[in-house]
Amino acid sequence: MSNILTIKNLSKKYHTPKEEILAIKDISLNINEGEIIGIVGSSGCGKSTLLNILSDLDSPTSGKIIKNNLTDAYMLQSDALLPWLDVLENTLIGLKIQKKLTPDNISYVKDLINNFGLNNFIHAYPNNLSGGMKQRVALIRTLALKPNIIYLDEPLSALDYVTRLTITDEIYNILKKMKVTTILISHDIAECVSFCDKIIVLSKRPAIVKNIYEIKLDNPSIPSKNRQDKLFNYYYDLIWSDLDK
Amino acid sequence: MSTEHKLYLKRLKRNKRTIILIQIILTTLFILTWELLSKYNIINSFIFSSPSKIINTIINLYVNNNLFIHIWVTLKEIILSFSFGSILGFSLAIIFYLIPNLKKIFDPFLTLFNSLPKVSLGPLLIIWLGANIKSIIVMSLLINTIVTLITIYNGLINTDSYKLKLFKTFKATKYQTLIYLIIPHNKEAIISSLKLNISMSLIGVIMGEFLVSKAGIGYLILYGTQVFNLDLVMSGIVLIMIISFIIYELINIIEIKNRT
Repeated sequence: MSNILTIKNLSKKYHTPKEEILAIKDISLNINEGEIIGIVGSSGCGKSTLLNILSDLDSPTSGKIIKNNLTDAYMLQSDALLPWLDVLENTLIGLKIQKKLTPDNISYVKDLINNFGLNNFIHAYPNNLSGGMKQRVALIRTLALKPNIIYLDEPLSALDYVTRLTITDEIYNILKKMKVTTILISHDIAECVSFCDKIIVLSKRPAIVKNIYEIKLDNPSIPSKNRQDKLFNYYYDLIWSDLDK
Repeated sequence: MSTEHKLYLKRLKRNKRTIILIQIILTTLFILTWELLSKYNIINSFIFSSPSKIINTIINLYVNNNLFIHIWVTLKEIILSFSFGSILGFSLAIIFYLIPNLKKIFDPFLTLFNSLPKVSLGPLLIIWLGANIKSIIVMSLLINTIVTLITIYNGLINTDSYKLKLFKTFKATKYQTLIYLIIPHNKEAIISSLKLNISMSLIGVIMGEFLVSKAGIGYLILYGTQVFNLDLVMSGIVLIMIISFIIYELINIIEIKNRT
């Protein structure tokens, strides 16, 4: 697997009138193409800051990020659908902004809508969709940009447990099929173990990389089945004990 | 449609009808009581006028070809000050939103200006701009622009942070964020500022007409007061109420159309 993203000695400081806060300290990582990486850490440790820096929403104080021919896309915690646009218009908004609204891209998005079972809702407005459907639309909007790396910032945290499991499987299948490199931030260790190839444990603030675990389940499958794997609990306990509480 | 749903709709309709009926009864009762009290000299009809006298005065104005001249003068001033005030307030709100430091710089001046009773500037306006329509429009703009600016600006700064972040992830320009997100997101705030602006424009125009005018409803009221013709004063007030109600309802229709 070729290297797609390299992070070298990344640090980030925040300044408030009262103090200087070191959020991230000297993080170095190598991310390979097609990998699904999970980042876990205690609340407020700097996970989102790291993701913001990787996606150019924020700049590092020091360090380097080397991106090799990267088209990236970000899926937020909230679906952030625009209520005045229907499903199709919502999924196309990123393409419209980036001036990539070609007939090919539109039909690609329509295929994605179809694959996610939302064909009957293509002209429905967000207030007529369930929470799960909204997140599917948000994912399609992200995938519409044809990214080769995708950042997921706890995208399913607002959903109920059953919907969450179902959508996790759907997202997993589509990401694997499209071979999109993924970086997932989550509070949920079980979700990360069942979903990711590799898990990075960050310390509490300032965030440093405490450990990197390669998840090698006995019989890897889709995330909901991975939860029943023999080694699932082993990894879960290992990461749980490593996490700063 | 189920029977329960039919019943529910019927109840809803009946409730709406009852409310309208009570409103009509209250208005009729008010007009009737006023008319009778005045007719039997329980209240002084010279000071308090009466509905029939008001109607007669309006008919007289119409017969003398003055009614629509006065209405048109006031309406023209309202439309001009409302349009300029809305455009100016909206543009300033957008500029302040896009350049936060500019808002910080002007914040104390805005607060100062907002708390200033604008009518105190009236005499200055007459000296600076002359005793003409310009003074009336500027007086109205002083009142309505700041209110529009503040209402729209408050809407803009409350734009959903997740949606703003989403647009940043798309690497949207400020212009794209404005057109595709901020303006549609704040459509309701913009419409409610228009509603507020109508009331403010009316206040401004009437205030302006009190200061300097040769025609218009404000002029009618002022003239009526000077010659102690209180029927004319009351007629002016009724005409303002009717104009204000019609414009307000027009904006309501725009609001409802935009909601669906």
